[in-house]
This record gives sequence, C-alpha cells and structure tokens, in this order.
Amino acid sequence: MNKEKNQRFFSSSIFPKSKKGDKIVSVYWFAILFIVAAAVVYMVISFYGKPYDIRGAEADLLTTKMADCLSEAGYLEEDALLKDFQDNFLEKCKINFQTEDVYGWREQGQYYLEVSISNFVSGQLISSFNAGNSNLKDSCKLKGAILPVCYEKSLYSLDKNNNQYAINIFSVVKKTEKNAQ
Amino acid sequence: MRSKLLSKNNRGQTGETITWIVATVIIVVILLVSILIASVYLGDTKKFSLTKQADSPASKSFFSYLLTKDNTGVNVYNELKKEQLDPKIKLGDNVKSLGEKVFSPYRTNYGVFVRLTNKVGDKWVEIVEPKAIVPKKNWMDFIGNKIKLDDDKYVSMSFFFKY
Repeated sequence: MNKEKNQRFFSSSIFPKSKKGDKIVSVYWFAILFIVAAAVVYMVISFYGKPYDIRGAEADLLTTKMADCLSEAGYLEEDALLKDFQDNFLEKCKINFQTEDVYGWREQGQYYLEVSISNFVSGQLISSFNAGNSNLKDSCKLKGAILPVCYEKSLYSLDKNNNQYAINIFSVVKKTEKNAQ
Repeated sequence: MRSKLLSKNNRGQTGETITWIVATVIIVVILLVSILIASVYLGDTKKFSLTKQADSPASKSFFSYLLTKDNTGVNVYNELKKEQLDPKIKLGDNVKSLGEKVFSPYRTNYGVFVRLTNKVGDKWVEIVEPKAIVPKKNWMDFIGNKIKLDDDKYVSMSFFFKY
C-alpha cells in the first residue's frame, strides 16, 4: 500500500520530466562522443601516420649479402683481389641498386657500398672498391633526423695460403622521403 | 510536503550535475594522458629491425678463425681439438690473442663469447670473453655458431645484446 503511495508521489504529475534537461544531456553525450572519437583518431594517426624506417635492416642485408659474396666457408673469394671482380662486383655478387621510380630516386641513386680489404696483421690497405652514389658517404658525418642510414661491418678472412685479411664493408641507404619524417 | 519534496529534488539534481562534471573531467584527463603517451612513445618514426638470431660477417670470421694456421701449420680447429675441457688448462696464446683480435670489431654491437664447450653446455673454457660483465636483465643471447670438435666437445660463438 505504502509503495503504491510513494509511486504516486514521484509520478510525472508531481515532477514532470524536463524535456529541456534531456536535450542538454543529449548534447553533452554527443560532445563526449566527439571528444573520444577525436582522441582515438589522433592517437591512431600519431602511430600509423609515421612510416616504418626499414633502412637499417636494408643496409644490414646489403652488408650481409656482400660478406656472403666475399667469403665462403672461411676463405676469401679467390677473385676478390682481381680488378675484373672489383669493377663488376655488383653483378658478380648479384646485388642491384634499383629502386622505385618516385621522388627522383632512380636519377639520384639511393645506395652506396664500399669494400676495403686490408692486411689483418699490418693493417695496410690492399684494395678498395665501391659502387653507388658516393655523395651519400658525406652525410654519415652529419647529425640530424632526416639523413641517410650508414652501416659498417667488418669481417676476418684468409686465403688458401693462410694470408689473413680484414674486410670492411660500408653501406649507406638514403630513401629518406619514405622512411624518415 | 510538496515543497519538501521539491527541495530534496533540487539537491538531487545538484548532486547529479556534480557527478556529470566529475565524470567529464575524468574522461578528458584520461584522454589527454592517452594522447600524451601516444605522441611521446609512439610518435617517432618506427624502426624496423630484423630479429637478430644470426650475424653473417661474424660467422664468417668465426670459420676463418678456426681455419687459421699457426707457424707449425696447425689450424686453430685442430689446436682446440687437443684441448681438454678443463678451465685450469691454459689455451695457447696464439689461439686466444688471435680470437681477441678477430672478434673485437663486434664488441660495439654485442658482447661476444667464443667458448670451448661440451654438448650440454655445462662445462666450458672461454677463448674470447666480453670485457664487460654481462648484466642479467634486458639482455638476450643467441648462439651464432657451434662446431663439433669431438664426441662431446664443441667450439661455439655466442652473442649477447641489449634489447
């Protein structure tokens, strides 16, 4: 009985629902919805809007490929010290510097690879050869965010006569337009 | 009676409004913190790196190292074969010093171990060891190469690096 009475007291005839209040709450909900949506969009853009920088991995692969070509089963490739090999080492090692034809990449050249072979004991340089855009080498001394990636690795090798060599492989990959922002 | 109820209703409305305001402030604060974290930690260019489980130039150096002959014409592989897995036994100076020199360039990227070890790996003799102490936290290691010398004797090269 009491329950029924209470229900009558709180019925809409005593406290009519405010339609204005409902509208304000709706606007508030929409405002919150837009704020949350905008924040989610901003976070997604801030994460996915930045590119993946794969140049470090690319330079690493380039160096590995060159190392595989120069030293096999612990011994230095027999022709590695010959001029013919050094003049055509990209072809001999099955490396190509082709890139997509965007941002003028093909004309500029986006890669540089340099190999130095020296005597392991004395440190004396025996031979050095390179290919690609040599201008990229200078950017390795600079500091900044939008610069080519430089990578250097060395390995030890020997020939069949037990002559010991230190091989230094230096690679540079530019492609800043797509990888660095 | 009616005015009492109306005043109670007003208080209720005030309470509800405060709840809404507090809820709004909490939502805005959470969003701002999320945006801040997203822009600070995720806003940079994402680096893509290959999972390091191999280092080709280092492996090649390792093979060449084992094939290097001393003045008597015996290569490091055969010299290591003669060694026992006893930490008290001193490895030949040429084996150790050559190893130090060959693997020193890799020290900028990793800590490098070259060890004489058994199959299980519970006995070993260091040929080349990292200069710094290996911290246990946030470091990973992988075996670059493991070459069999004898029935239960191997020479292995392993790296540890910070991740």
